[in-house]
Amino acid sequence: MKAGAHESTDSVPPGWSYNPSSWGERLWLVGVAVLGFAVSSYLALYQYGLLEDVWEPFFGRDSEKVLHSFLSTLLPVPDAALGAAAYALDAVTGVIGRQDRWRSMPWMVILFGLAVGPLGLVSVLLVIAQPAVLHAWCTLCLLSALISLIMIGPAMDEVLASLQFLRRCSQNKTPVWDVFWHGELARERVADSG
Amino acid sequence: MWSQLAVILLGLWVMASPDVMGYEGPERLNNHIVGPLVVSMGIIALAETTRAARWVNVVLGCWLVLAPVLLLYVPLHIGVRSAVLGMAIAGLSWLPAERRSSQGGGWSVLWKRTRYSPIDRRKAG
Repeated sequence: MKAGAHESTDSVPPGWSYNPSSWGERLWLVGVAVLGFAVSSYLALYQYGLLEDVWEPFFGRDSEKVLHSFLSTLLPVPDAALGAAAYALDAVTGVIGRQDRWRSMPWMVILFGLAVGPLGLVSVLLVIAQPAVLHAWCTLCLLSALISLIMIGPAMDEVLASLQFLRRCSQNKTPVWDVFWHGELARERVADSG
Repeated sequence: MWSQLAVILLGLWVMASPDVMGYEGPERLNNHIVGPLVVSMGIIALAETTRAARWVNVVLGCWLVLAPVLLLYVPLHIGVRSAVLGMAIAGLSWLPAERRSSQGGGWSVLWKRTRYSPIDRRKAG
């Protein structure tokens, strides 16, 4: 029932030396995302005024300048709160799905990739904004950016495996949209009815 | 792997140098923008799947060599430092890394025609 006509029962994608959706590849990323969520939540509490002080070991009052800058309040929600939400999305989309989710749940893998990749690149812009626009550095903001950057590369292998799977489906004339949402079971349904 | 770690350290220096060295000219803003980009791309390029991010650092390294001339850095030694860092970043980023795993042909199979295309199969059948 699990295996389709063209993919083997093994969870390692064809042509791969390892399975990018295995727990060993995914769980540490979820852990890193949770750490990022903790840091961002702490900064958000400070931005909301629920904490009086923010931890800053190197740059004196700089952190306060950054965290209460016009940039951090451009949106209706403080930017650290958005960061915390992004990390929560990273963790949730990282943990959902079986160890073969690159083919059984492609939409979740793509959503995970979108949460980690583009949102991680936003943090690069925020790092540049600190010295270039605000003329101040913020240690925990830099740590949060580092955390989101570390996740990008290791998360993308799973996305690649899913995209390669969808590409094979399109080459086999399997409805890609159906497989994207329902995974390989959809392909089996097509094979059975055909 | 080690070359990317070296690039990350050089990028951190580019990022910190305006404040550490007290740069005031156009190199201040330039390094504050280029430094974080070099560090970010270096971190992303550590992973085998996204190794291609190193090519961004080749371009950024070349920019650090050209910037002193185009943005008119004074005095000269600030420009020389920028050029040396740029050459090191571009050179180290150019180095390919050994592959320790295989990933089904990488990203290029997504847009390359393969011999398993449905048209070919129909011909064969």
